[in-house]
Amino acid sequence: MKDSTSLEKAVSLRNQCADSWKSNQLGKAYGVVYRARDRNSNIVALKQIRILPQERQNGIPITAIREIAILQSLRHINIINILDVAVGQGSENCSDDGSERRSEGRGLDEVYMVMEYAEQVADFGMAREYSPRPLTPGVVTIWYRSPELLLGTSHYNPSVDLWSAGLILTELLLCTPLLPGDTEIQQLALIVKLLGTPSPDSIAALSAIGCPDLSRWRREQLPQGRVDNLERRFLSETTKETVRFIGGLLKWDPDERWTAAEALAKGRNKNAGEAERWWRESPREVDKDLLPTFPEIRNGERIGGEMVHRGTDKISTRKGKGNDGARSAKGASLESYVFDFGTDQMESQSQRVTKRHRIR
Amino acid sequence: MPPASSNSAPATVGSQWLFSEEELSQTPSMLDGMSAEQERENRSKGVNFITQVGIMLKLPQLTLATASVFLHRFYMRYSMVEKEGRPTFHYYAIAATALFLATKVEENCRKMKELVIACCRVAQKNTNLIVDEQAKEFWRWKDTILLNEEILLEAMCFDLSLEPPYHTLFQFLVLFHEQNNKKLRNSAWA
Repeated sequence: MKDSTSLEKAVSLRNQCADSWKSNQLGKAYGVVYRARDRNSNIVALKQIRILPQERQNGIPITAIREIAILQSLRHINIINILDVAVGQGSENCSDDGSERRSEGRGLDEVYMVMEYAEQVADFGMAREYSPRPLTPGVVTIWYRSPELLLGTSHYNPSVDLWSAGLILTELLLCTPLLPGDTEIQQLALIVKLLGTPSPDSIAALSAIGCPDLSRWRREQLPQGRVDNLERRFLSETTKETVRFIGGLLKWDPDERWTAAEALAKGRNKNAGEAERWWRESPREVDKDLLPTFPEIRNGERIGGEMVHRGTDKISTRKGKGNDGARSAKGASLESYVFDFGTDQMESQSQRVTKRHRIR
Repeated sequence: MPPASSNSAPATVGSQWLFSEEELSQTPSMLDGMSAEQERENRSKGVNFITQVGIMLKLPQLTLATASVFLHRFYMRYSMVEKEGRPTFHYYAIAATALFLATKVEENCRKMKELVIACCRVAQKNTNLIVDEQAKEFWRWKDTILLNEEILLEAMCFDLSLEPPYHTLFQFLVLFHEQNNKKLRNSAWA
């Protein structure tokens, strides 16, 4: 029975891999992620969700509930499989804040998600099911944030993810982030530098969505007459079809941006047709199993030693990844798989999560 | 071409919540000596509580259905019989907790305060009851909900994604060409 043993399981998991428990932290953000061995000696990933006492007035945070529910409902080869959820028990009585809660039978303050250990999309910490209602604008790491989000809209839709996907594609080509801005304004400036000044139509579209910061940005920051540099920037790196593909994802107007289905060449419209040309182009996609594997390189950091705070030196480590893999892989674990939770991204996300809680 | 999606729902989902006739006659409460009728009555009181609090909070039907399923699942794992040496899970307490969790799962969050006040009002059968946030009753409900939330989640194995029955119901109505039979539709829906 799954239910009665989940607690024992978490404890036994923790005990069983006591030696590797602390030393195998993989990522640290909203919760710590551990690499662990289960009873059947399978390598699993454990994601710990810590529930802070100050968040407890509203019970288990909705973000944690969303993450679990969404991961459980998704089954896809590219999405990590959640094997189990277990609860851990913290101190017996953590009601140090007498005014907030008076009695507390037991202080559940940890939830463990047991997941497969593989290269898959794993972090759904900020995910939620899409519905056409106002959403929080402060989502997504700023580098991958779409124009409408940068301009503060709360009426966005899944097209924000396609923008991010386009930028990740460019990052794969360049081995470095394309638009590493620090602030919203700087990020927008970088976008203008890449895509040129948005057309009046695009501006009108953004204004129609309701972007509170749009008019001020136009008045004070937006340079006129900048040209689109996307092709110039990438034609030396890649093919024309790829540039077209990226251009389809990096559109100012979210409605003009390709949809996920179009980008996957599903459907019969013009965008899907263009995407199809890209997918047909050489090199064709290959099966995952046929891809070469590489020794584990994780931001040049030693694995198996003490927990290192990662993501401090973002750009340089990312560059290091592309330059000399062998050297930075020194001291890497025996496993040849990378379990990358995108720490950089998660760290800034975790800050956002706390921010959201404060608002609530 | 991009890889074909392998997005088929796993066959195992839901199976732990499908019970045989025999299992249904051996619920934890019945094993503790409660009669089947009594348990059914208590469950329906719990669901009724969910409905009343839900209406007071203007929650959608779907959220109430989710909460009710949570309640039923909980009592397939825990007994409602009071016994010394173990915590008691009253059906009103679990109903309130199930509703609290359902509002989060279904994205219809209500403030804890609103929920607690509605619970107090329904429990006392007084829709205009003035509830003081410092009152003992307020705190009791709040603590009960927070404490039971964890137990409820654990009992349900964090299995939070439900398939609501309404779509299936509608398909059945279509199958029997009864989709325009308003009376049947309404009574089946509730």
